[in-house]
Amino acid sequence: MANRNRLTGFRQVNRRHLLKGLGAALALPQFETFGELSQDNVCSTRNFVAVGTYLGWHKPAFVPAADGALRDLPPTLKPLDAFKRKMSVFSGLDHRAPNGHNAQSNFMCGQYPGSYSLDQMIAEEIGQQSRFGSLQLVAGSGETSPGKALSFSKQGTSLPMIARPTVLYRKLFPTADDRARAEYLLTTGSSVLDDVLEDSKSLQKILSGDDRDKLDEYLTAVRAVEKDMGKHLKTVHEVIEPPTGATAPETDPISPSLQIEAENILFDLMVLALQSRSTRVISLFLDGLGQVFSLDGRKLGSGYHGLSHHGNDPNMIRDLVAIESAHMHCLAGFLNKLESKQGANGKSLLDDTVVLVGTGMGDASRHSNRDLSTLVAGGGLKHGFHHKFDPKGETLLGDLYVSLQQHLGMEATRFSNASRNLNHIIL
Amino acid sequence: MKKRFALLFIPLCFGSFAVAEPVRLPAHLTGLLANNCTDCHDESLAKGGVNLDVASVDWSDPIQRQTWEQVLKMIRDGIMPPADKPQPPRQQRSELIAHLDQQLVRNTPFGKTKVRRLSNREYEKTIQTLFKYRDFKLQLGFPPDHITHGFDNLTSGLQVSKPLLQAYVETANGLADRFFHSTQTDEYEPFEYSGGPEQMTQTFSSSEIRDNGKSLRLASRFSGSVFRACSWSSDMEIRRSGVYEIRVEASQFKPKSDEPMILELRARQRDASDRTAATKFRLLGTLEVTQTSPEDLKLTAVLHDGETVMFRWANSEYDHTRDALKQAAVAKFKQDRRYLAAWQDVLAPKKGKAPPSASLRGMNGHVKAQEAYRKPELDLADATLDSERTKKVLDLFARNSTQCFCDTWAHLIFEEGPCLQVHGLEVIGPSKIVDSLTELARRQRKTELLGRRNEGESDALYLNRFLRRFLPQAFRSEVSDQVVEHYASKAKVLWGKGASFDESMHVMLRSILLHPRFLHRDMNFDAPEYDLASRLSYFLTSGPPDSTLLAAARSKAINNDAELEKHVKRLLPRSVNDPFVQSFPKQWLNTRSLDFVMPDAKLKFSDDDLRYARSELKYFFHEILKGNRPLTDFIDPDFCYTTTKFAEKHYKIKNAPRKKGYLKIPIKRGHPHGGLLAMAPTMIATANGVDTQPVVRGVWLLEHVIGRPPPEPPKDVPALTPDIRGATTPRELLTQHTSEPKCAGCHQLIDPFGFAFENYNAVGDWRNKWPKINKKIDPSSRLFDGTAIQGPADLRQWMLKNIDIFGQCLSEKLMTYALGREPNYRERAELRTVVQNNIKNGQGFRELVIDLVKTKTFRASSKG
Repeated sequence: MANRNRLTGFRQVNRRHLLKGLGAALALPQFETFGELSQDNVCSTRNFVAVGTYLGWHKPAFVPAADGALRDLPPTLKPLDAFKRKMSVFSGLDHRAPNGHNAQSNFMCGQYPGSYSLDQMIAEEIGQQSRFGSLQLVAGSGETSPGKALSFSKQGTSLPMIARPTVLYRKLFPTADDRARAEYLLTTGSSVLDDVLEDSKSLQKILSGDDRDKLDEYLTAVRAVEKDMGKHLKTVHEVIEPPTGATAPETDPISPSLQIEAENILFDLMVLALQSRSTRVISLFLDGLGQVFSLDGRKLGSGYHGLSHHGNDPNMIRDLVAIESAHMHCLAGFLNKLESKQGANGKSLLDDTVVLVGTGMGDASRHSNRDLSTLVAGGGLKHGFHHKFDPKGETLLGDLYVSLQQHLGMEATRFSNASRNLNHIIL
Repeated sequence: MKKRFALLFIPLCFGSFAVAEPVRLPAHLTGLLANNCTDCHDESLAKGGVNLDVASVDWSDPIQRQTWEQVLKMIRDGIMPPADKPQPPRQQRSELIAHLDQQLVRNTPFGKTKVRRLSNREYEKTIQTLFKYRDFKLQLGFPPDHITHGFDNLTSGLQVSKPLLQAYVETANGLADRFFHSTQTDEYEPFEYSGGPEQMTQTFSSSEIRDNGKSLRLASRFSGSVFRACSWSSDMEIRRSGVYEIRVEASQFKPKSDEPMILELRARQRDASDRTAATKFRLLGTLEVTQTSPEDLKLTAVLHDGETVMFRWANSEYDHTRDALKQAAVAKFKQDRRYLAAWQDVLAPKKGKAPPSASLRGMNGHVKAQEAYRKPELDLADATLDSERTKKVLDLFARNSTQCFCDTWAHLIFEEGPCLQVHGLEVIGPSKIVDSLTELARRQRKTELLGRRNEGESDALYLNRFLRRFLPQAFRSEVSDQVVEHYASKAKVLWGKGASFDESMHVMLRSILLHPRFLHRDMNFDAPEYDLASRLSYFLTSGPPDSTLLAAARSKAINNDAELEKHVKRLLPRSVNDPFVQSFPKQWLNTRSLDFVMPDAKLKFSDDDLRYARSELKYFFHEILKGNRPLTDFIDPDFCYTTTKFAEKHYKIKNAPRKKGYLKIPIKRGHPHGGLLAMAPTMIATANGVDTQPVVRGVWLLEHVIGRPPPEPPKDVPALTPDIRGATTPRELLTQHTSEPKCAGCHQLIDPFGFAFENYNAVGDWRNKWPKINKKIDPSSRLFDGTAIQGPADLRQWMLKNIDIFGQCLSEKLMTYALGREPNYRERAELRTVVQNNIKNGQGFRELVIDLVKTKTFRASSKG
């Protein structure tokens, strides 16, 4: 990369660097903000991670029998045994959203599925200083349909999710080729805008009054973007080193049947993303449809979706719970790694990261979106309890979200249809 | 004296308008103003910033005209003077209105269209058209347009912000990449894959791993969704397109005949949906499997990056169809009565209920049947093919075949055969690299954009030819030789710096796509015909002018009435999905909230219903436009346009034709759900998903159907919240409005219209009683012109009688949409003539649109 001509970007750059595939590393540049890397700015940097399943959590295997301190964990949560004091289980809460698969996004959108989601609200407040305001990931996605996602923009558009670990890794830690290409686009982009300013001079002469104002408004925007490009050019060639010990993933287990494998790799990369302060907000969608898993050498009786419609058949429930505890195994690995990494103020990264695990589907067997099984871990919250609420009572899942937002330093007082909070329980 | 002319909204500057002679107001009218207005609107008090204590008016001053137009409107609509103040005599009032009208028409010049950027909708369509890129969509996070009174394309709302420009830059980069950026290299690493059955995909019934992981069995030849009958390597992915050797180890399992089993190999995109039909994936070749012991087979084929190898047993007897399942089941039941009894036990039990079929899908149902088979007490008494219980089993099989029991049955075949077995897959290569599909597609796109290069043509000539063709399309205008030369010289500079042809094109395309002439409209000062061509095209198609229209602009033929009419007819929408039909009715009637509303569960309005309601308006609108139906059909048509199900459920239409999809359903004129004032989409958009809000509907009608929007409400008035209803009727609550003088002016205008809609609930269903309080609805009222109406039917009649008011409103909205601004007083007068002629001559809506385009209002908007 030595002979780069800063002005033109041509030729001097190794041709391979310009032409080699960059994949999604550059395909979604709008999500990469021009913010500075805040490597040193470590005080009060809490992160937010949300993990949600498409097909819910089988309640009897997720919700502890008794209210109060967490003792013997139910089957699905068993893998989390080591984190009993760093997590809380909530039952009986929901958003009063409509029922049905289509409404599954109520998990983070609240009463109106497909509206501005919790993670995006948080990203807007605390994510803007990071390279990526937020990251959206998915494991086990066999097919997509509009609105089948966890994260939704303010305008109510579902955000695209990264399924390939190799793509995510390269986005986090761009290669020399990627940096060269980004620099090329900025260099040439900036000269394109120069040309546009030059070409507009003749128009400026003809226009008057309101018309002139409209053109000026446009030119002001052109100058502002050009200035940004200049700023970005100063840092674009800086190498972003992966944390020590990190290795780039070699394969992309994107087949739905390899969901658990993908989930494990993505969780590892999520640790890297938080550790390298590339982002502070991540959502991971655990999709599920027809894939038939083999777990512990046994082929399950039906596809994931088929199992979720268990009709209380004990065999199907056994297999469904096997999948759900496999998810929890992956989660335990994630929490474990977070705990072992240093976060801000000498605390562990886990104590700095609020991990919300839940779903928008209360009971997939009946397509009911009431009583959503929810778990919160880490983040330095008051943990160690099962908080059981009356599903018909006044407390809403949004009340918990208000508290989480406040804990993350936001001034939230409402979320969707909720306007209370659970500060007295978890803060 | 001069000071008295300063009739103004207080803070202002006069701009560059020529000073003309003020005209004295007739004495009897100044008398009216003095008696009825200047108590509040004199120089010292000037309520609302309006001073009417003047003797003459300078009609050439747009600010003064604006004020008097406001005065006219307030007096005409009865909003001023306030109800508790003395009212002017009727005669004098009419004289004032007539005088103001006359002066305003005489003194308002036709307006001009201002420079404005493309709206997002127009920008998207422009790119789709310019690059023949139909699937192009604005990237996620593209800053949305401002919506002003329902419209997304008004000059005042179309601003260029930094984030928007950033989005333009990214879009331009993406498009330049699409044509000029290759991601292919000549470098590659050798690829060697080896996988066994454990690496293959199993879904509901696609395949099963047996023999301790040594065999993968296929049972069905189904060529639909691959997750039913195919299997593929889940962890293989080709990185570099090329020629590969594919080795498969396969065998027969319990074959029924000597015929070879045909194993089909297809190239499956790793990230394709599992629901994709098998035949959608490229056939790599077929292999003949002839032995029951594993044999090595191979073929050589091209595999592309992102692909894996998929298996299908092409000539299996079993298929995922109802008939194949029945045939297989009957054969098995004949041969093994106990197995039939087992299925009877599962699906037609003697006691209790059968489990839902869905829970028996795949292996689960098979296990259930096996368990029953092993029950010592299993009763074989009914296990004959002609028994009722057998019939029930076969019935359920038939009813849930492909989606369910075909999957289940495959599991029996996995056990008993015949199956085709795959034991291993190896892929080695590439022996030769080939262009990837992505690269081939890119090159083809590039050639389509640039045109084919002539033999021996230099870069410079090739580029010149392209610029001459492309720039006029991109700038929607004539492009001078200098401009072409300007761009050509830019390329030469880049070549001088070492850029390749494609690299220079990458930069050039971006600079064209960011040029103000690409992003803005109405910039052709020296050739206004081009602005007219663009205006017409964006109005009717949301897209840029085509070559025919540009030619008509070049020859100036477009200035000719007949020529213009020809183009309008050519560009008018042909389908309900054309942009004009998709966008205009929704913007005119401001039904956007339909896209977000979630009707309350109590209203029993399903997701399907909501989908139907969302589409109804565009079908309805298109039918009237296509059929050139009279304007009255908007209000009281002899048809509705929805689905049979919706018409029956919500419009209580009996005997609707039994047909799928949206259809024109004949109704009697006067039907309670006929027309804009009674259809689900407008009624839902004017409610809040839970209950009705009479004021909102009244204001909606005034603004979007009658064209007389009331002024904004005073800030200190609380909204009427629906849950106050426990105590009294909304009607009684609202009468407080009319008793409070501050509110009365507007609400006397608004509320009567609002109440006339009360028989339609928040989703447009008919109701006779208010919910909760269970009181009979009283929809009667007296309209602002004194007409007493009993309810929605009378409102419809009133609207029909005043169809010119409706036509005027519709025409103004059409022009607003076309011009990006509201027509001014003079222009509205011209539209009035067009509407009156349309009604007088018994013409239709299509003719109205054509005549509106021919108006000076539409045409004079060009510069020059």
